[in-house]
Amino acid sequence: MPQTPSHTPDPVVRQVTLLQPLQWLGLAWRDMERAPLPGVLHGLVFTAVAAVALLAARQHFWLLAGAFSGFLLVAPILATGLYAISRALEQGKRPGFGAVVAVWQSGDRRLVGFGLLLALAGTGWVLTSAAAITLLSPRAVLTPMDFIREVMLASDHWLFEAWLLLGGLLAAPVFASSVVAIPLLLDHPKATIRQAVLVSWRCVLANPVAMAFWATLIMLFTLLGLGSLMLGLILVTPMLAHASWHAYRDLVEPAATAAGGRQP
Amino acid sequence: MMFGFTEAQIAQFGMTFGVGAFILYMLFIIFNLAMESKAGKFGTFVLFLVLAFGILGFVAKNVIAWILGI
Repeated sequence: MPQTPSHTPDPVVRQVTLLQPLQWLGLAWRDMERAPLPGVLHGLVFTAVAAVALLAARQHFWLLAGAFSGFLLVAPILATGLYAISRALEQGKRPGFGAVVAVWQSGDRRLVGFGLLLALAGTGWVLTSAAAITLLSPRAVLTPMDFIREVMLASDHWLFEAWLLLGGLLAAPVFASSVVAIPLLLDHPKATIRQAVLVSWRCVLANPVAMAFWATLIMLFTLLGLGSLMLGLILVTPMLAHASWHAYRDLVEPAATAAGGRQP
Repeated sequence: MMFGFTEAQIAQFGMTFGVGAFILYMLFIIFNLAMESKAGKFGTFVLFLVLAFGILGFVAKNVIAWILGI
């Protein structure tokens, strides 16, 4: 693989055990206990946006089904502030919402660029999903109930299964590109987007089964969050964000110069 | 009635355990396939991810059908 010229040496990727993603969730819960406010505020904003989207487009569920699932692709960049909270906690600080504001005020072009790439991938999925549902469903899918009856539970076609398969195939490269990319960009001010994406892929290639398990846990918790009338999202989204920071910490060797990194 | 359970209940248990065992068996087959076919690390990741999507979808579908009483 060609190496890109960059200002920072390529971080070393580590192997993790299959069940290590469960530890990341445990560590995330500890972060939530130590600094609950930023996480809960993020969760409230995510939930409010999801609720407004549902209210505004409840008669266009063929579009919303993709938008809700596509949210998973874009969420990592929206949670950047919470990675900063986790990092501050492991450095022994007592971070407040100021740490989140500082990240967003930094105007880091790499984060903005990566966010735009994720938004592009998310939009691609929304369009693909909407096209698949409208073209392949024999009956119109307008409301959430239509989606459940005509797509999910319909016994005369396999649209739901095909939709999941398509989603899985499209999600795989996006997940592989982003699993540790944003925490890495935050932690290594001189790393490039390309470098962060390549390290992310190397993490997946070094741990394919554990990473598939981690992606499954993310989907499962998001489903539980959505299934609880979206109220569960208030806790689920910040928890997954903090856990993503710990995933990065375990998957990528801390740089020799990085201050205060948690040693394994 | 058999051992105090109705046929429908036994069928239900059988179905639940049967599906659980089948899912484990699929995991085993996919793992073997990934290893033997040398699908490569990314192939293994994609196989497991798509399988996980399928299992989650299957469970979600059944939970929703059960909640709606269909």
